[in-house]
Amino acid sequence: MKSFKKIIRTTAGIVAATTLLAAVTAPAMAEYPERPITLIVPWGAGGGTDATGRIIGSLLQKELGKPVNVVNRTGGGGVVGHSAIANAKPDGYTIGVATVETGMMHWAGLTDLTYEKYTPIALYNTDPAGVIVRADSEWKDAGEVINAAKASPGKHKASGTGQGGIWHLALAGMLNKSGLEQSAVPWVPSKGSAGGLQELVAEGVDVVTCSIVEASGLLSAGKVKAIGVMSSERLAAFPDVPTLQEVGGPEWEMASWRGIVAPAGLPKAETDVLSAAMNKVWHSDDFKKFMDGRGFGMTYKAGDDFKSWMKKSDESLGVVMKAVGLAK
Amino acid sequence: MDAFIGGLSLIFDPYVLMVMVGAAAFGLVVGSIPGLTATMATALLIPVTFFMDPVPAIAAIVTTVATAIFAGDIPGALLRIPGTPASAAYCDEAFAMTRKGKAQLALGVGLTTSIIGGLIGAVVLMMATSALAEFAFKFSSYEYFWLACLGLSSAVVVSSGSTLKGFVSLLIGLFIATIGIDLISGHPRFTFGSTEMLSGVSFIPAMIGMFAISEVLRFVAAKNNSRPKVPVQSLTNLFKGVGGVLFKYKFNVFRGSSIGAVTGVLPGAGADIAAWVSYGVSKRTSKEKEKYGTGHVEGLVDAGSANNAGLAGAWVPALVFGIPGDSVTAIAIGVLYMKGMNPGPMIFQENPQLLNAVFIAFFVANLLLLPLGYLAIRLSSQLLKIPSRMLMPAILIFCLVGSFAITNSVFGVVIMLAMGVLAYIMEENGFPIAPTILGIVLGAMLEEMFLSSMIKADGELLAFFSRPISATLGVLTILIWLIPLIKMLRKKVAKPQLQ
Amino acid sequence: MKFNDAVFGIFLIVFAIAEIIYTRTFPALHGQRFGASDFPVLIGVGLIICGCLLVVSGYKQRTASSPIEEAISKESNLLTIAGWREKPRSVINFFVVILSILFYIFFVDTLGFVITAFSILLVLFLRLQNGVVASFIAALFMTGVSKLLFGVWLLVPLPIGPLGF
Repeated sequence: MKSFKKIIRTTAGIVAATTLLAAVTAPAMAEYPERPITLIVPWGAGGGTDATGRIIGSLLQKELGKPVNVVNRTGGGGVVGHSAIANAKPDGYTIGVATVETGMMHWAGLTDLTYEKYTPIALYNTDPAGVIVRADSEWKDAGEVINAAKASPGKHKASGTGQGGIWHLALAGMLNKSGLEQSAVPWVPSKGSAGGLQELVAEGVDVVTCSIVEASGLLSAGKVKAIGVMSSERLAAFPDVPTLQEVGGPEWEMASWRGIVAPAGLPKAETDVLSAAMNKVWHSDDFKKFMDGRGFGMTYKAGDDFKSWMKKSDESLGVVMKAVGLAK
Repeated sequence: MDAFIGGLSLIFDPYVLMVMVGAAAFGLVVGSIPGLTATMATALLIPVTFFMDPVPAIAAIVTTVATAIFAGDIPGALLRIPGTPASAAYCDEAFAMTRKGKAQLALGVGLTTSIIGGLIGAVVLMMATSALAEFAFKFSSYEYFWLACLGLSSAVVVSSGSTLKGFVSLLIGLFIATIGIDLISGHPRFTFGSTEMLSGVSFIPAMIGMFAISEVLRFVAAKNNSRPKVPVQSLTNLFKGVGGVLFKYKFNVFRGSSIGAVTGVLPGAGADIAAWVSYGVSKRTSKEKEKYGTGHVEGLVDAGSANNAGLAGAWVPALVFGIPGDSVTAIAIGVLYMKGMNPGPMIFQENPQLLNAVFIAFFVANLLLLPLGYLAIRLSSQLLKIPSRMLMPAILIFCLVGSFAITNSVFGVVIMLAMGVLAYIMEENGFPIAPTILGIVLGAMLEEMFLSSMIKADGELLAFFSRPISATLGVLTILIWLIPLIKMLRKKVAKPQLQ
Repeated sequence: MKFNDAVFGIFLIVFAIAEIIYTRTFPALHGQRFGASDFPVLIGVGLIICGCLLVVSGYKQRTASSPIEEAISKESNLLTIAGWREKPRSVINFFVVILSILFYIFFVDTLGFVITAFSILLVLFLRLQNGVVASFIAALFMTGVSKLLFGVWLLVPLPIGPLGF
């Protein structure tokens, strides 16, 4: 027992000495970044935002030469994590991934946080919504879905995410622009697109509006088919899928996006370092290989371009949410 | 067969085996620390796997998770603090055994059933990947609703003592699950304007609070020596008596593993729920129901094999359709994509060796568990030698950091404290806490599936029985609920005649 | 800290009624017949039923006190603080634990993890009747271990204090 105590004492001594030493030898003021950076991801481990965030974290680490720790702050439909980024100290040591929900949460009355609380660094991804049905469905394009909804309102159900989520708005806007009531295709809330797709394949709902990427596994399995995309032109990764307008659908676009942001008021020196690093990361082969592999759409907008993108997205989301009664 | 041999040579490569041993040690450490889950261990592996080839990367994830789930049993049995949520279902039972001086048997059974369950799960994964995936895709919200009901019916079963108090405890858990932003309506409930509350009561800090903090509070509040001490016991003969137990309950091992494998395949169910369901089934069908909760090994056999069998199952929908069965496989899918291998049925044609390598990795990981798990238990037996007055503050600090780590903010600690005090008051007054935990686990799924089913069916209740699987599950659930009632009525009718 | 079942029952009933009233503020789901309030109301009703049954059983406990059951009737007092009066030290320790968790919640962000954890550990080790030197060493050791294990190795972003750790 005595020797045990001795071991404890020795170990404690070593630990204390190491801790002190680490504190003393901390480097003197140097150029940013001089210590690890925290990258906040407002969604859970395993999702698309988490996956892209972690890749960017690893690549930024290579560029900046300091560890970039990815931290998931989940919950509250993204409010918790987005607030954590905005409320952090604008010193460049806390950055985060902002997603399209930045422009939705405040309209839904969940928070007063808007894109103005951020210093934009770079937009790195956009994924337009798709119209996805079972492989054995009789519908061949999105126009037929709209016609079926007109013919028998309320008969066909749709899913893809929770109530008032981005993919719900995609459907709501499509119905709205086609002059249909929301009850024409009732929304069945689900846990993310995976839950919605499960319902679709299990014949629980008839159509899912989520990004085509999220269904790519099921697409290649021949379980579902993508019959429309809500963007102005066809996607490079899915060239066979027509846009809504091509098949007589309404003029309606909806896409999710992801970008790296810092809290508002980040000094110019730090902003420049981060922007330059993100520029290199986005153009790197590793990043391209990963994004193409999973089918994530690659879009790049830096600084003010990113800011005006967020502003536009915010406004158009507000219009839809008011039109369909999801705004407070 | 060629693919199988190809897979074998991929795994039995010195580098891959070395990675797996490292991953197993990592998994054991993370799993045995309350608050650090298998998901977190996997997420931490991502930057490391980034620099690896696909096979060692996937093997590392498989090994880490398999060992972490077992390691969760160790602090559960020795300190009544489940290391991962998958151990929560039978934590009380295992700790009761430790109190009786049977920690060695509890951990020995935990280790062997984990290995057997894991191996059976791997066999199932290997034999029936595509058939199981097809089965999983027959599950819509109706079937999930009944599944959640089946899970809940084990709540009153898992609780020891008064049925009424067990029911109150379950309702408290279900209520706690409604806190936060509501998935169905997008409306915040019971958050009182707090941003942190929007994310609801995270399960891990709640679990740490209810098991560990309440235990610390009970220790310091007890009068000196009035509290039953945990006897100091050696854990050297870990496998003594295990053979007899396994032989006696061989059917339970098989049943637990099957329940685990099937539950694991269903996206969103997974190892945690598998452990609860199989423990509940075990108690309900046992000949010695009254012994459950007092340190009876039978339930451990069922649930211990179920959670490890469930792990392999979660890979089925992930590999075949790219739909993750749990958050671990969600991360694994990301790693696969990163390596240019897209999950989907094509993976059978394009990469059969890789697929086989995943299966073999499961086998090897479970076999590695035998020596490494043994070592971990031997080391952890030192815990029992430390006097409680030294151990309790140390546990408290681990709980604080563990709760913090889940939400990465002190909000996790707030949840931990609130739930700890709640659990302390409940247990002092004879309310079992296991049903509360179960309510928190299943509450969100139950509500979501119920409401989305109602929306789909336009309020028609019969729709819950309109599909073959949902009708079967529904009838089964109702029967399970009714049988004890009928038995009770019969007794009441029979009693006056006796007098 | 033991309450009579009836006290619990009444508490549950009051809680459930307040909960149900609060759910009335939830908006109806847009375009749906079902909404956010349905499930909490069901839970509330369940709690009221259980609460009533508890009140009945608590009342039975109270009236059933015959001489033989004196031991039980002690338990059926509205509130029994089991042995607390005889052992004030335990009561103080109980609140010391709760206060130290509260201390962590309120001060960890400003003081940093190392200082906060060390102070909590030191206080608790001392309160649990460990020697002064042993407490000091154990507190230092545990702080170092948890900082290294979680903060350094497992990358948990533990708060950093004014001194840089």
